[in-house]
Amino acid sequence: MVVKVYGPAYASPKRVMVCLAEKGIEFETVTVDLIKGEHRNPEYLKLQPFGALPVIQDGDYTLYESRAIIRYYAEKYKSQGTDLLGKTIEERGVVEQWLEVEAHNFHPPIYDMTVHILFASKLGFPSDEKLIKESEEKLGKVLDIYEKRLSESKYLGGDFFSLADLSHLPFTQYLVGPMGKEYMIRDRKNVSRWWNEISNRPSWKKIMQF
Amino acid sequence: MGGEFHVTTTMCFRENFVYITPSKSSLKRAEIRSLNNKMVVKVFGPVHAACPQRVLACLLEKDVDFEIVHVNLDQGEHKQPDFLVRQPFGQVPAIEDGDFRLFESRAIIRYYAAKYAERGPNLLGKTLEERALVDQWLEVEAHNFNDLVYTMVLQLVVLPRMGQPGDLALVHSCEQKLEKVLDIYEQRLSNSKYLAGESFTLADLTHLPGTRYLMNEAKMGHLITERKHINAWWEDISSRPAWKKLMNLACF
Repeated sequence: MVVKVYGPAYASPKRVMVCLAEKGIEFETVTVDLIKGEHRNPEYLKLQPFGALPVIQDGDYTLYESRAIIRYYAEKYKSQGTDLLGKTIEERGVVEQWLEVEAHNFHPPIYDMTVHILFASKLGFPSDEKLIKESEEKLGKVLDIYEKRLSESKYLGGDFFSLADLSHLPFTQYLVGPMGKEYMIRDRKNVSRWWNEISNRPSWKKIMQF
Repeated sequence: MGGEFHVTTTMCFRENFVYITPSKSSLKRAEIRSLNNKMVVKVFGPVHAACPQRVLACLLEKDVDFEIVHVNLDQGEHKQPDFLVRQPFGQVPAIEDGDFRLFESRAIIRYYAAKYAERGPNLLGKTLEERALVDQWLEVEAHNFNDLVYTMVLQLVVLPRMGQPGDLALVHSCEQKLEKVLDIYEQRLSNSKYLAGESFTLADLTHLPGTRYLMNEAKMGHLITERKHINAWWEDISSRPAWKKLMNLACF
């Protein structure tokens, strides 16, 4: 029985998939088409009642919220593959801190940009140019803080690659790729260095293909 | 975003927990030194704000001694260089525990719940699978519940206190979305005593500060009381001694 990950075409499921790849954990994917509204089907809502992606099934065990899923697998398979949590409770605390920063400071503006730049027309609503501009400004301020952090620390959570860095991969890939905003990363020397390192990891190169 | 709710503060002193404002700190420092010979966790942020309360509730559950260092949000103290060294996004809370510093309330509570796993109630579940459900509902609170509650309290309570009109259309839209979210919580709590299972965990604790604001200052209590299982859950978690202690500390 392998882990089933729902919604592989999209960014948040990729957060889970790249974690599984780093840990050497096999998985299968189940397609969920957001444009067709499949995340609102009753069968999907039984698994994830908020209708968001992803959800995983691991035998009888069902779990949703990508950042909960990656914490689970990083801990469960701690001694296998890359250590994504650190060696001490304090190291883990700092990883958790930057994972929360990603969730609360980085994710909201980049998510709004993703929806309005990449998905609005597909989903049938007008893209909000004012929101895009404001979100880009907010994201820029967050990246300025990352620039300082990464001038003092090799990775966000410390001197090791962790869940805190991994969590940024899928939406940042949208930013530098289809959104055409690679300059936001390249204009910042340390963020650029960090992005090169984390996006060139074999696990990401494999998962970004989905 | 940070989820900061701030109201007019008053000075409150309770045994073992000294509430300091920087400008009046000289007199209080002597008291602190005599009270606290050992190192205590310093929690930076106003005792009334929701995110610091999330941390304080956890420390009280685990019986961890702390000292609150007030940060005056009304005067923008959280955006001053001294504070930004501690928390570069200019948000409360932050903690200092000896040499160890941390910010983001949900990271801080996970840290202390793990560090003091053997003490007080088990806030993280007994197995990895239970822990993951705690994390799942912490994430649900962070992404589905918090933003809606924060926006409603900002528009209904904070802006009017600052003399600005709140956006009632926005409040209504948030209320409708929150109703749908709470319907899902109601379904969950009809099958499970607490959000992550049969015991109180961080998943429940994280909802305490925001829900209290929603029901009291924002006067949206019907959202809770109209749902049988959510209401019972709220009655239970808000009666916990640690939460009652925090309410005393905050002079609520």
